[in-house]
Amino acid sequence: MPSAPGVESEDAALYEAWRGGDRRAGEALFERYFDPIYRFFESKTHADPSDLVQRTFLGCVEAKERFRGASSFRTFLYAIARHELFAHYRARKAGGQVDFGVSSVADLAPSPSTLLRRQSDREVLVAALQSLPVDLQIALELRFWQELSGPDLALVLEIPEGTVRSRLRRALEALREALIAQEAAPRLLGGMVGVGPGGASDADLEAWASRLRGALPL
Amino acid sequence: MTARSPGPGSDERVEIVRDLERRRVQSELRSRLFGAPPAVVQVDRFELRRKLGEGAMGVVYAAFDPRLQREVALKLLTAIPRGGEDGVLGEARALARLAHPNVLAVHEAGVHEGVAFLVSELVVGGTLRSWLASSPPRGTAAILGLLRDVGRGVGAAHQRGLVHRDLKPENILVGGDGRPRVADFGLAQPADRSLVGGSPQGRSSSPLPGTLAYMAPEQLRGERADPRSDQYSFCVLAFEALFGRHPFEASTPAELLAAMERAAIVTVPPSHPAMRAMPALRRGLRPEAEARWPSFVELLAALEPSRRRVPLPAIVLGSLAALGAIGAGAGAWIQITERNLAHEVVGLTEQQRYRECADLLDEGAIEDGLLYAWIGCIQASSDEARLGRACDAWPSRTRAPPPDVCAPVPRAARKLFVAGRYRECAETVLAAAPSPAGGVVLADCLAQLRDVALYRRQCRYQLTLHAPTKSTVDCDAGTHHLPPR
Repeated sequence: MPSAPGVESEDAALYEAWRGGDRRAGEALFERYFDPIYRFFESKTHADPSDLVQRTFLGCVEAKERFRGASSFRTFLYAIARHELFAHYRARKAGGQVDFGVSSVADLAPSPSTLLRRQSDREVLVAALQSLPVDLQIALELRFWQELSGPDLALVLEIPEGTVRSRLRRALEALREALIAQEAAPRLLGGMVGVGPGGASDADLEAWASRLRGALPL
Repeated sequence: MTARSPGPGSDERVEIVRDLERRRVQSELRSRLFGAPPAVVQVDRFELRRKLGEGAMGVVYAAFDPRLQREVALKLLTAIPRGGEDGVLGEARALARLAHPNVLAVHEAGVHEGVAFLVSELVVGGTLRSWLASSPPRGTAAILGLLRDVGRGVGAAHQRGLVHRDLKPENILVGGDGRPRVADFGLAQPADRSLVGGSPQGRSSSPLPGTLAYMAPEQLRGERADPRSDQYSFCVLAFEALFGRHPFEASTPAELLAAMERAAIVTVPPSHPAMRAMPALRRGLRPEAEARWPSFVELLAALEPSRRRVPLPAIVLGSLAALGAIGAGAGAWIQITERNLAHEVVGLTEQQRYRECADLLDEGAIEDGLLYAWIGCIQASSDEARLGRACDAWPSRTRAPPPDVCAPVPRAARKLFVAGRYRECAETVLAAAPSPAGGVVLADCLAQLRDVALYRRQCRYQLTLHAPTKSTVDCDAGTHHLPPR
């Protein structure tokens, strides 16, 4: 859900108070954003996300400087969460190089047990999202399921605002391919089955993603 | 999976369990970050403490039982296995009654917000896999000892009609005390057919998931699992534990199934210390279920042929003596080292299921004490032809002296008895040196005759046999030996 301007200024005030040592203000922010941050990690690692969630909330108190550029506390929190996630992947790879534009969650944290089960639509969608390069997965989840604005997304992904649109298009095309590869039910693909690469307009793709979001909340 | 029973669907169950976990983490972090008192997240009366693991079937927590003030393991089932929720709860109740040291103790089962859960003992330790990975490596004797205990647990569950369906090293918990417990009985989901039997692509391209590696071929084909499927899985994991490698070479489920169906077991060096277990495993790994061991009892007996000697239970000795199967010379040979098999024999003889007792002992490397029981059971089942065959087979199974019933005189007398030639039968026995087996046949034959003279001779025969110092005068006195009309 996009945050209303009222919520944003309230968040900013709570954040200031927390930085000033007001624990209850911090707790209020924690209660408000625990869920989306938890879900952010839950879909990207099979490890217990509690440490990552904790580090994200602690990190936002420590990394005050970066907040200035963000339009909202929420966007700022996602940017920190993304950094924590990548640090976690690097630690798991222990020395190996990870290219987050290429590596997917399915590569980084495979779960063989899923192979054994017949999957529901939601599981198929999650598996398809997890098979995308992590930054494309993040782009889709935050844009369509968390409804972050284009500029906010650019900030979280650390890319120029002008490239967000093409990044989203690439992500949606990749999601469609992944769903086809996962033999997803036609209802998940909407009208996107017969359309070749580059064949669908941005608007068609985005309308399709919104329908997916409506049918399958993450 | 379509849930027929009312209640949440698979997605909803997953969501309910994820909600619980999210609330637990939230409470824990709130307390860690802000010093707030933790809010207890409960399933039924159990307080979730920490997540221990997650698998295809569900999530396992260490939880606290406030009623009994102890930590337990609590498993929330997000997937409903074959048999449905009622099946799970039914099996849990059966398990709770089982109480075997090598089966994970199930304390309770129930449904929380539509999600089935199982509460069991919390084992502090690891799995068979981590136990095997210890350094220095475990010796063959230690591994065989542990496998025997695992097999006893599974065997005990089989006797209660429970089938595991998903035996693998991860489902065998080894406590700090070194005692293995078999966990997750009956929780397996059926394998997805498409992995091995479906599309051509499925056959060639799917990677090999770990959980398939221990399944019996009939399970991989999507057929019903029975106790013999567990036996197969056990032999795969036993092979791997003893020889350090999977018995079949395969990289896809289809290749695995093909290797299993050909029984193409990898070769191991003949000098390997665990080699003596190989014949037992080979039979357990036969692709046709009916060619495997009849049950875990025989499998375990064959797996570890030389074991500490324990006396044959008195009850077996008693019943065998009564059957006349044990002659004076045989007593010294009656030393049973395989307790399980002996107990089975005792159980069957007590219920007078002699034919099954004989079937149980019909083949395999069975020790001498039980071979006497084998003859005894055949004799008691009154199958004279089979007794003849068994006596003929005796020298090929052991070098121990044959039981008396196999001696020429009692055998000849039995044939006459079967032919209805009772008088000749009696004369044959009485003409030879007395033996317990002869005494039994003699009694059978005399029961068909009302001949006082023969009874007097039988009396002397018995006295010579059992009380040689006693006078035979009393035998000539009365007619009280005559059978009632």
